Amino acid sequence: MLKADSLKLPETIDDWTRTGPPQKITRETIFDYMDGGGELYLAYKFNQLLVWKYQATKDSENEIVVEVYEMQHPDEAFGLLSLDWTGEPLVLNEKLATLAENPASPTYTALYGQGLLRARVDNLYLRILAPRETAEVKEIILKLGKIIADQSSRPSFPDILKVIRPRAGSRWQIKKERTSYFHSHLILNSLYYLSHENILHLGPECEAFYSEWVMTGTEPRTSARLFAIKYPESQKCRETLTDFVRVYLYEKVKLEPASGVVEPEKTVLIEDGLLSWKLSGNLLALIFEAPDKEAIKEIYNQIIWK
Amino acid sequence: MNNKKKTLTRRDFIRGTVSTTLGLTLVRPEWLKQSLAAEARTKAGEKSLVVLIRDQNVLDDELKVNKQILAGMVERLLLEITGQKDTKQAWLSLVSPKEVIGLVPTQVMNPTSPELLELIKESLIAAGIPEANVLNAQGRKVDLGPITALISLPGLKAHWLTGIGTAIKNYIMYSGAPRNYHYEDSIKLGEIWHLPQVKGKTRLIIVDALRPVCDKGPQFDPRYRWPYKGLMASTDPVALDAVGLKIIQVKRDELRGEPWPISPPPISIEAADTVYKLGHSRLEYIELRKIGWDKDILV
Repeated sequence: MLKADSLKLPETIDDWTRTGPPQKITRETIFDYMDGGGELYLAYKFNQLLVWKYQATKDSENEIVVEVYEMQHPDEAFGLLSLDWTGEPLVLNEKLATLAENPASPTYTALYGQGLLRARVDNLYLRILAPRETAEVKEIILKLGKIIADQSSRPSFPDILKVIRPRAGSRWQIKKERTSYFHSHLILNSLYYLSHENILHLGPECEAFYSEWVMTGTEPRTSARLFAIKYPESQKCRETLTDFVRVYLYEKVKLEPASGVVEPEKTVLIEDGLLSWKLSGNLLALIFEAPDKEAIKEIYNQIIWK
Repeated sequence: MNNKKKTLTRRDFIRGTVSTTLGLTLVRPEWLKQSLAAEARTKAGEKSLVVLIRDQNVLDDELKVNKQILAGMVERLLLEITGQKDTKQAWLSLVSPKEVIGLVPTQVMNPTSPELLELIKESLIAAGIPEANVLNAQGRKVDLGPITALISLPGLKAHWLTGIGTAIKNYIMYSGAPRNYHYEDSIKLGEIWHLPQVKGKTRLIIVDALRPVCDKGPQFDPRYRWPYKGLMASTDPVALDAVGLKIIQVKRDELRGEPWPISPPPISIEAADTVYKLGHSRLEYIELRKIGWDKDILV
């Protein structure tokens, strides 16, 4: 794992000068640095943040802020980047340019837009921002990104994404640029609101992704959402499903009075379409807003159930 | 069928049962019950006025603020809101020269333009308010005791924990514990307006919509900030958030080319209306007066 406080950023880069040593933000001080925003990084197993600032010699009003978030695992840096796949994809480390296609998500490791570079470098997540973008500023931002990425190893993807196995010929296809990886219900709610309470019992020990699926050949596009969550144990997975059904579908699904057990696979019609769940071992998949049972079948057929 | 305590869920928003569920789940402390009981606001037949003014030249090509144009926009807002004939009379209908006035800008994510803050201060002083009586009142360390009037100056923005973070949320620091008003607890943001040191002091809210942010952060992403070149004013924080939400939502849908709902949904707006009785959240109870440049107005 890379250590953010081991990075050596240059004192000067072209006409830009570092204003001093980096500011170090810890789990304890992150709320002082960004108030409520700290929850985002804590939800992705944050270790520490180092912040460097560069000022232009010619234009003292403009600055570049380099934020390097050190996370506990590369999956966490992937998760942060996966919250927004839009922007101009870039390669910061040419030696690692060719990545195999991932069936569930884009393979980008760096994205740029209007003065902001976001990237993942092993377990580091970078945000390099200049409030006023120019062509020269963009060049400096990318140089800084490349200096940090120079030490990176080959990017990996969270294991849970491997449950997606696209089937050729299926009418239902995943929209890779909407796939996000997370552990926390706060993140899920920022992607797709279910409840302000943590009704899926998500937490750091869970691995989850959110994805959107579209049916090809329809206009406007018919779509559905799939979340897949791996719990640490099968029992927790079953208990979560029961609790979810009790809260979310309280008047729709009858539980066994004695055991409270829920069927491992079921589809229910609710206000915004069909809601379906399927439980297999410690993996729980939930489909929302499906138009019909055929759609559910086709999406489930593209999941590896082990 | 099952039988479990009602939790606010996505289904409530689709079915339109948020208010009912809010009523069931929100616990109101005694001080708040008393404050609500004393609330004299009668909503029947009464609309809230929101004035939205835009000028395409208020920002130049480098997005720098033209202070002269901005001053004209502020003046027009004041006249429209108060019905007075000049700026001085407009201010004096809202505040008295004997009062201590706190200006409450937004400081993070989409900070209030310094030019707007300066202008309001200059305009108050020109209206006869002693300079020493115009204070910056944002932050948890502010002593609200001596402050008798508040002018709130939030920036228009979405927020990742509360959905929208504009008028109602602008007093969050007065709670002394902002983290207690995030996530599901953002539903309670309206209660801050009932705190004894806050209640009844707000004379005017001017929303800085020069460059709103339509995605929710938590950190600033310049791709989601756009030059809307507007200001909005009202005495009703709920109506301002309702109109602001509409603008942000339409912009988001436009950016994606498909519905891109703000998530989590900003439950604080409806709760501020139905539970905390701070104003109107439904657009049919809001008179939106639009002035000036109307290209891409979004509302």
